[in-house]
Amino acid sequence: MSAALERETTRAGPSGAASARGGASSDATPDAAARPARRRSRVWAKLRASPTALVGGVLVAAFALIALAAPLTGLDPAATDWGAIRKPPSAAHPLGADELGRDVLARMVWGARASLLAGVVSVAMAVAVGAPLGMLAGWARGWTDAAISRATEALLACPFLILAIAFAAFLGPSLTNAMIAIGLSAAPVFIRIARAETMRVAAEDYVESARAAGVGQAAILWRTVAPNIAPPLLVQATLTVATAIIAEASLSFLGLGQQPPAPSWGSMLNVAKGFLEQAPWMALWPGAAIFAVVLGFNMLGDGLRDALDPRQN
Amino acid sequence: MNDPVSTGKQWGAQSAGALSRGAGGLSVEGLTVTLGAGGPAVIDAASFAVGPGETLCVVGESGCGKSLTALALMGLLPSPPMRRVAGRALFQGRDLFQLPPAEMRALRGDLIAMIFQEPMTALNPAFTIGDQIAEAARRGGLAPAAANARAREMLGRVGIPDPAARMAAFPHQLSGGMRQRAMIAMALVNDPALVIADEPTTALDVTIQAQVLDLMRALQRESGAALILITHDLGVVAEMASDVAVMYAGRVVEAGPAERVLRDPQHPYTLGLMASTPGLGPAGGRLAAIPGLVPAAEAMPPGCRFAPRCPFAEGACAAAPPPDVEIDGRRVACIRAPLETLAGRAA
Repeated sequence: MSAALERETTRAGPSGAASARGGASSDATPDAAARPARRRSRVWAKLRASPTALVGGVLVAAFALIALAAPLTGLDPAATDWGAIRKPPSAAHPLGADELGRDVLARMVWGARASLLAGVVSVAMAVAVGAPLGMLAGWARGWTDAAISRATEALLACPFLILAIAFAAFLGPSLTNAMIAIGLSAAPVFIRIARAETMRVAAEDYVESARAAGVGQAAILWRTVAPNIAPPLLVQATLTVATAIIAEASLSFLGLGQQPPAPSWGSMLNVAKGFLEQAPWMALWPGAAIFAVVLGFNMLGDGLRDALDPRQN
Repeated sequence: MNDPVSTGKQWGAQSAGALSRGAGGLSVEGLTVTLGAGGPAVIDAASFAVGPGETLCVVGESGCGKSLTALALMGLLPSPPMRRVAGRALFQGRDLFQLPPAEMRALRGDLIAMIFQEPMTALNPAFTIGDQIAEAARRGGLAPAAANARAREMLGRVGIPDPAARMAAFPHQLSGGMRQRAMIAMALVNDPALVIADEPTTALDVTIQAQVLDLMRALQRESGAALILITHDLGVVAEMASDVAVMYAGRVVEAGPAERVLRDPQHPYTLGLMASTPGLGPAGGRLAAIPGLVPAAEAMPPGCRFAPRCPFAEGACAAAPPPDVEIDGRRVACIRAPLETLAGRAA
C-alpha cells in the first residue's frame, strides 16, 4: 500500500498531476477503497487485524462478561458448606471450597466484579486527574509547572502501595475508597508522562502552525496536543490496570479494600496464602484469573498503541 | 547627508474594491524586536511594504531575523525572551501590533495566513490532511459539510491528484511536495488577504520547489493576496519577487523593486549575497564567499552591522548606524552607496 502511495505521490506538480491521475489511478483506487475513511474505523480495523490485541480483547471481554453476569448465575459467594471446608474441586464445588466451606467458583465470579472495577475505575480516575494536570504543567510551564511538578515528585517519593494504603486508611475501608486511593496514588505517573509529552508536542511545528492558524489555546490543547500525547498514556493506563488489580488485592488483605464477606480476587488470594499446602486450589484460581486479566489488558494495550499510531502501517 | 527615506507605500488604509474580502497590503515601519527588556535588538527598525497581489521577498542568510520578522507580524514571537518594542504594521487600516490578542488571533488563519518551512513537521500527524484543512475552513465559519467540500476543492486547486481519496491520507502517507501542497491548501482555505510564507520551498527537491512556487504564484494571481516570501535563495527571489527586502543582522539593508535590486545591487551585502549565488550552466570559478560571520546578537557593532565584513568599509562606517538613502528607486542603508562611485569594486 505504501509503495503504491509513494509512487503516486512523488509524482507531484500541476504538470505531473495529470500524468499521476492518468497513470497511477489504477494503483490509487483500490488503495483508497481499502483505507477506511474515518480514523475511528481505521483504528478498529487495525485492532481486529492484530492477533495480540484480539487475544487481549477477548480475555478482557470474557472477564467483563463474567463480572456483569454474576447475578444471573445464581451462585452465592457467602454461602458456607461446613462439609466442604478446604475440599478440592468436586461436582458440587467445581473449583473447590475455601476455609469456610464457601464455593470458590461463586467467589471467583463475584470477585471479578471487585477486581475489574478496582482496576478500571481507579485507572480511569488516575488518567482523569493526571492527564489534565500534566498537560497544564507542560503547557503553562513557569510556576504552574513548578507547583504541579513538585507536588507530583512529593507523591512519587512514596512507594505506590504505601501511598495507596495511606489514602485508603484516611478515607476509610471500602471498595470505593480503595479505588479512589489507588487512583490518586497512580495519578503522579500520568502527570509525569502527560507533562513530558506535552512539552515535546508543544515544541512541534504543527502546534506553531495551529497558533498561526488562529486556534485558541484550549483548542490547541484539546485538538492538537491531546491526540498526540494519547498513545503513551494509553499504554501506561493498560499497564496500570494490572498494578491496580494487584493493589486492590493488597488493600483487601489489609482490610482496606473489599470488605468481607464480599469477595475479590485479591482478598481470596491473600487468605489462600495461609493454606497453600492444604488447599492450593484456593490460591490457584484467583492467581490465574489475575494473571489472565493483567495479560489481557497488557496485550490489548499493546495492540491499541500500534493501532493508534498513524505512522505505523 | 541624505535624508532617511520612508517605505514610500501606504497600503494600510486602502481597500481595493475588485478583490473579494477586503484585500490589503501590509506596510511595516520601524519594527524593532529586542532579546529581553533593554537587550540587543535582533530586529532593528525594519521597514518594508507589500501591496495586494504583490510579492515581497525577504532575503538574508540564516539568523538575520527573517523568520523572527514573520513571527512578529503574526503576533507569535516567542515572548519571553523576545519583545517587540517599537513599530507599526498597517494592514487594512489597522495596526496589527496594537490589536488586542483576541482580535489578532481572529485574523490569523483568516485574513492573514502563514505557510511554514517544514511540511514534514508542520502538519498534525494524528489527523488526516482532509480533517486538518476542513477544520481550518470551519474556523473560517463554514458548516462541517461545506468545510469538507471546501477542503476537497482546495486539495484539487493545489494540484493534489484524486483529492477525494487524499482527504483521508495522513501526513506521513504523502511525499514532501504533497505535504507542502496540503499546507498551502490549509493556509489559503479561508482566502487570506496576506500570506506569509517562511521558506516554503527550502525543504523540497529543486523540481518540486519550482512546482510549488508556480502554484503559489498561480493561487496568488487568482486571489490577489499580498505575499511575503521569506527565503535565503536569490533564485526564488528572481522567480517570485515584485519587491525585495534584504536583511542583514536584523536590519533591512536594502529594499526596493526586485528587478532593480537584483540587477544593480547598491548595498555591499546584497552584492556579496549575489556574488555567492551559484549560477547555472558550466561551473565557472570559485564562488565568492562573504568573509566572516554574522555578529552575535550580544556583540553587534555600534555602527553599520555589516562593516566588519564589508570590503568597502571605512572609518565612518563603524561610528554610527548608516541612515537610509534612496538611490535609483530603492532604499539602501549604506553611507558608501552608490557603489558605482567606488574605486576597485569587488564584484
